[in-house]
Amino acid sequence: MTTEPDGTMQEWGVGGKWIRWRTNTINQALSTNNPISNIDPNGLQSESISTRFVDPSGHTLLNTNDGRNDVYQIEWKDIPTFQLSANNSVEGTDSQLWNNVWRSRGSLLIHENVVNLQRDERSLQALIRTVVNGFSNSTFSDYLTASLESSWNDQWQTFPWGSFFRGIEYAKFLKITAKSLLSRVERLSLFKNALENAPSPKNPKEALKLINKSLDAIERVHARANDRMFGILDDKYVTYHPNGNVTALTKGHRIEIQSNGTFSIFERKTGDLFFSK
Amino acid sequence: MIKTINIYNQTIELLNKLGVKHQTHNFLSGVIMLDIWHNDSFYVLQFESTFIGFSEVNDNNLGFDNIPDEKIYDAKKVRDKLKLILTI
Repeated sequence: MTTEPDGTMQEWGVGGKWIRWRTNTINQALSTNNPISNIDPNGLQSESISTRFVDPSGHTLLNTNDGRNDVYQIEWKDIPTFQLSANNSVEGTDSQLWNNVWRSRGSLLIHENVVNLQRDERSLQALIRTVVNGFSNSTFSDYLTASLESSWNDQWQTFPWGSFFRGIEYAKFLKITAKSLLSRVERLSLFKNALENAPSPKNPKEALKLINKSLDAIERVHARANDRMFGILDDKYVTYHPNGNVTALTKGHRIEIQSNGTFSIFERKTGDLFFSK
Repeated sequence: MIKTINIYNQTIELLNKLGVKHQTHNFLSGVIMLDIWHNDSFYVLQFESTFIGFSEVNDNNLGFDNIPDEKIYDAKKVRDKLKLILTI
């Protein structure tokens, strides 16, 4: 528990008043030169270069214009001191000195190289939640969805697969724990979720690309090296029909793609429909 | 070198003789995929140019790719494997 500026008691991590306090504070900062600056409690700003300090739940405490774009996490026990320091900093929270102090007291959550890969605030927020939750299934799924959706707002031709997968590589760099390794059933569930949230492909080529890229993004993060599924690697098991339709087989699935890009995936053992789009 | 087409023909002959449900998929690439349903199990045999792939697809092994569980390069081992899964 701690005391809020209005004198009320507030438990850290309980969002409402803390966010309101921060919202009020940014208004103060803009008008009274308060050192708290560039706070983005509603997650609507992400364009400026700013170190972001977050609490252990991933909620933004403070953005500082120090020329870096990292995300740092401040422990619960340090947040009152952090707040005090920010409010009373002589040199200002945008100074490298102040930021270096709190960088050393906090812990690096996401390096700016990865922050810069995120295409919008929603993706970054989802990534922060994913990291603070230890790459749990649900939060990673949210991140995957946010990243894909923000990217799919663009044309297919400009889809930044490279940047997206570098973000995924970062997840591997963070020493993924056993908790983030999922069974094939769980991974295929994520795969289905990714397909559902993707825009509809317009032809069989786009459909195959969607299927392979979506699966690959999940397998890179959630599969053991000796248990990866690789999708449709080549045309060896693909049939191109004269009417433009395409049928592709994997060991466990049959993919029927229409010439207009709509497709259905069936489980070959049972014949049951796995997914349709 | 293993003659996979001969083994494919022998396998089909065996499956027909035993009345085991199966389905063949031919591809322009020349590979053949053979599905076998037996005792509530589902097996996939891939007859490629240099090997035969054996896989069992089940709830724990939902294969969304064409990497076989096991690659076999020897005709006798293929027959032994078939006998094993068909419990002959």
